[in-house]
Amino acid sequence: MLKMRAFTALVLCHACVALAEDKPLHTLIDEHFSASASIASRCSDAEFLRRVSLDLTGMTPTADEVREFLADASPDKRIHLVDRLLASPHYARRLAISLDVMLMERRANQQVSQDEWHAWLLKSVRENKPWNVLAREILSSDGDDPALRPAARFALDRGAEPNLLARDVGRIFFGRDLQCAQCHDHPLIDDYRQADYQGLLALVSPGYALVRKEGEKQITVYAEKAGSEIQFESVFDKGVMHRTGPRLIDDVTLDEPFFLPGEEYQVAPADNVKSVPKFSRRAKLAELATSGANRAFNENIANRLWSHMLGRGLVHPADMHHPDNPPVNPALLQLLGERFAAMNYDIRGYLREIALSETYQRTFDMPSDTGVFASLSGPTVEELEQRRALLEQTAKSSYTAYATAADAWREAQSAWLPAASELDAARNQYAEAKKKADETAKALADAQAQLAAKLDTAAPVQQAAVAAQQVIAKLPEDKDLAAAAQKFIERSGQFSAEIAALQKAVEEKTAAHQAPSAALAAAKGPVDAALAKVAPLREAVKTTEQAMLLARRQMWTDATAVKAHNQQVATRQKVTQFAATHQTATAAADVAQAESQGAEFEAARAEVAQHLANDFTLATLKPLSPEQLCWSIFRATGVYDRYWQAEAAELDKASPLSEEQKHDAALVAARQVEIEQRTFDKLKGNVTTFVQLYAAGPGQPQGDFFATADQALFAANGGALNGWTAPAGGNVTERMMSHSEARAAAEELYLAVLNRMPSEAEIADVAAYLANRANDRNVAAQELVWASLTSAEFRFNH
Amino acid sequence: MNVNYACRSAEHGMARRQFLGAMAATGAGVLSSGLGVFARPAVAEQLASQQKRIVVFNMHGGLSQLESWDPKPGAPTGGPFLAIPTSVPGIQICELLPRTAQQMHHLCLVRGVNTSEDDHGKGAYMMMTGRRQTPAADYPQIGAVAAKTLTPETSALPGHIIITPGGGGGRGNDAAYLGPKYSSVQLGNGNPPQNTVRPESLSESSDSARQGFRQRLNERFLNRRRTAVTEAYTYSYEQAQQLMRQREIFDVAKEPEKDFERYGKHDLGRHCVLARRLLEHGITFVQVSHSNYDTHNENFHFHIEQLGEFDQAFSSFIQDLADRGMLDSTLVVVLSEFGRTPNINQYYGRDHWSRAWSVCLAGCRIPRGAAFGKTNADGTAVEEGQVDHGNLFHTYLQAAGVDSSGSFDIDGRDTPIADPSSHAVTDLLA
Repeated sequence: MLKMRAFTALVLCHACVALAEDKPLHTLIDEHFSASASIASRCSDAEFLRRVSLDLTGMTPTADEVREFLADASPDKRIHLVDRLLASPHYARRLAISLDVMLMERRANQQVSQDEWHAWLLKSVRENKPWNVLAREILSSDGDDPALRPAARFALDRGAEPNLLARDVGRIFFGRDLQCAQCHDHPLIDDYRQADYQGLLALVSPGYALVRKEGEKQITVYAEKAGSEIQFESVFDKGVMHRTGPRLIDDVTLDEPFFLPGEEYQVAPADNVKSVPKFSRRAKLAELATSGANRAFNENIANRLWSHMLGRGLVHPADMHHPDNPPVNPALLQLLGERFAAMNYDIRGYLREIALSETYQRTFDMPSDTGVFASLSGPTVEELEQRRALLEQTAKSSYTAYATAADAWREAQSAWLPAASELDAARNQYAEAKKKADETAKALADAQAQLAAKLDTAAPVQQAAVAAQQVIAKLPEDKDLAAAAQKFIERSGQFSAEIAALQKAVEEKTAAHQAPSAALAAAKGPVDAALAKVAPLREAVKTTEQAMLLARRQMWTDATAVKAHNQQVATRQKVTQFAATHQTATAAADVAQAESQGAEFEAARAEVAQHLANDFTLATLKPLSPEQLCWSIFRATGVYDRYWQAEAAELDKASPLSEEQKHDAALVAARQVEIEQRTFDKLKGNVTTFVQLYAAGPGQPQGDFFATADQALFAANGGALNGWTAPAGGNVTERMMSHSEARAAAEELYLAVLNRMPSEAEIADVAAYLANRANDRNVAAQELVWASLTSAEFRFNH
Repeated sequence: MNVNYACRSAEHGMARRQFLGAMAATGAGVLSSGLGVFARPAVAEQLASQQKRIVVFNMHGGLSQLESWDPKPGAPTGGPFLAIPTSVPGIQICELLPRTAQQMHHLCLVRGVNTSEDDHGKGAYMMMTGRRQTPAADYPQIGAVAAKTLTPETSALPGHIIITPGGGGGRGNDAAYLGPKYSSVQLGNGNPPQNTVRPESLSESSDSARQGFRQRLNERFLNRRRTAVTEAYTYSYEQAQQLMRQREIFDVAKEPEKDFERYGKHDLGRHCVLARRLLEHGITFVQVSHSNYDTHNENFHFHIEQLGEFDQAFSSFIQDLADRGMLDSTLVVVLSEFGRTPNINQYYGRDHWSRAWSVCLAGCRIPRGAAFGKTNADGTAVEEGQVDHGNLFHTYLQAAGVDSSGSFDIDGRDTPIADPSSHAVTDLLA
């Protein structure tokens, strides 16, 4: 089998990775796309600047930035740009928003306010907190520690609902949407098993929302109980019971310590009390997921951050990672997961590597003529076809191996189940016995306490009675004393009777406790016996589970290889076919030429382009997120810079930096952070409208593009865009008006809004537009700005 | 159907069709829904002639079945009102609905509804989505499903409209995984959708000039790269312009004054005239709401008042749909989140009751002049023909010609249109 696998691209690439440990990650990324490098070309400087500004800072660059960047002759200017953007305060803002949307999918704030949550994410990004630390905090926080309360938002604002959390932990942290496997094995996806879902559920199901009163206030925390194993059956196969303990995706079932009933807690659950189990599954989940060893966890985040930059995951959608929806390049995904973990989950460093790769810097334009398709390197379609047969054979045999291993595991499960039930029964009986024994023990303790209290009160009275008797013996004539003494003696007698009764009660309770106490001691035996019986059977389950998981991973890898290969072949065939059919120029120089080539050609070209974009040979058109759109409109119109300058001036006035301080890089950077925060706070209210119109609903995946009439109506007739584009305060419209030359006006427009120089044809367009508008040049300029802001070129990141 | 694309030449129309056909075949792009039938005039016309529509009357708070569709006069639980004969011999309804009684030959009463859920929010969710609320999944409402399955992609008009009793407007959050494209457009108190009027500061010529330049920019850009998402984006602007041109559809004042008299001079009357207008102009789904039937106190007085309004508006609406030949293609549903208790409480009120209540249907494949299902003498339990929210949801869709056992393809995930463990009620489908 190994021999056969050597044929796969997967293993070949792996070998070259091993040889090149010290190569930078961006070089390794590019090596994985070497086959298509010949038909891909680099995007222009202007395109790169706009793209990387949007991806790393969440907004388009200013016209001045574009001018400077285009004028910069340094060969390293792209590297310098990436570093500058990553160091800017906008980077933290952009990533905090992106992480927020990824983690919460725009769910409503219930227990943690948006300001608190965003501030925590922002602080984490500014500190460049490693992803695994961030994830560990999110997965383990109970919301009690004020410093980590925002981290608990993931669970608290999902109502601590176990099924929702199981689903979203699976999707968001492991890239697997197991929802359809909740009630049965996934009907369509072979590799999503009900046991996977239930194992994940067992990890989160002990969690619950505890509303705790603290004086006048109420605070909801995410408490945890002691967990038990989950029993389940498939709705397709009723009556056949299965059972699982807590199990992480891609991992074996946890070994949990056994506790007798009543001994599971450090702090037992009670009213208004946050329980603390001795064994916390939540802590274990957080620890195991983030330790660096869980491949699904690593690949998920590597893929999501890739998608953050490239607009499309290597696995897409990001939560549907399985062999029928394989990564575009399985070997690369594995490498990225490993490398990201090895670089200590350094998000900033990882994004930097992606930004520096040629793969990221590719153009979205189709190659200008079909000739280049002939120069595709790598295996031919025939060779690919031959390889497919080998891959399929490998996949088939690893499936057989998996099926065998799965049978063995199921057999071990069936052998274990009755014993596990016996243990349940013994444990329940012990719990019952313990309940009774606890009751009688409590009755005895209460009686003893009553007796002790009585003895304590009686003692001075009885002593006084003895003394009083001595007194009346010495003073027999004193009537008053005799009467008093008589009282003491009487009372002492009463006490004696009461004490006798209480002593009797204690004796009775002691006797009553004997049987339950013995029963409890006796109940321990069956538990021990059941435990002993279960142990080897459980061990067998564990061993077979391990073997099954290994076989499954192999099957996963091999099935993925087949499917990924088939997709490669399909793309290759499409490209070859297209090149053979259309041996003409593919990128028409102008509209007329494109039209002349006909609709069929255009459709074929678009289809090939889509294939190539899905392969990362061409850049993908990425719709701006609602936040990117809003901030970019502010940037393009000039609203943003006006607010920025006002905030900067105000700060300079309130606390001016001395000449010396102005040379202190740290101080200057801190000032920038402050200005950014103040500008953000002033303008952030506008983002809400954009989110309402341009974002998917709360709790829905946020990556899908949609365009609706109400968005276009908002852009056309709403107050926002019409207001921001009206000539004022040195905005782009006003700047355009200041130029009498159409060429200069066109440049102003294109640099500010589309972030590039206009072509001669485009300058002519603008000139023609302005030609008859001498009387209402301001209106005409505003129209041009509006049109550019609503153009497809602005709406997408390319 | 005018496809307003670029230079508006026929070639462009063709190009777009073929283009999108190819896109659909690749299954590429990141669109949440297919654009396969995007611009196909011929198909659109064909669809329009057979296109089915749905209108839902949502009786907020829980209409009393005993004071409406399933009266029990004389029973200890019956309350003070009589049952009256209807236009269908043998079927009687409450005397609070005298005009509706005269339309009975168009209607179908479903008297055996048992949804076993007495919470407002949960009950409403079940009735609107056909499923029980689950923590880990959200489901689209009937309006979103109707908009997706029944509206031709060529339509510039929104397929999912909710006329809300109060003011406000905007987009509802009711399409779940179908995406915001199918979310409701809310017409606050019957007002037209937001931003459909050109601001005064913007002249018509100015607007058309800037739209022209926007298209010019798009031509240049899309010549470099066209994808399903760029098409969807540029099309949304065409849709917006068409919507503005067709804004009158939302202007109920264009309806004759005498209709407002017939329907009743109140919000519900006006909303029902608007609903009729919208349906006539091809809007797929309209929901009208009538508040509030949550009559824990003074159930009988409130029902006299509320149903007085409803009877007038609803009977006129049914009559008009029938007269205009629209009932064959329009499904009418009158529903609530639940019914009301047979037991009358000490405040002369009735409380929440979901074990035995009624829904009223009409149009499309629904049998005319029928009563399906039966409750016992006191109205406390269903005796015959029991149905629940899942059955009803399947039935609505089947009645409107949608195969409710089918699936949506949501981003590669096969997602059942309706609860796969439930089914339609065949007796309700002629």
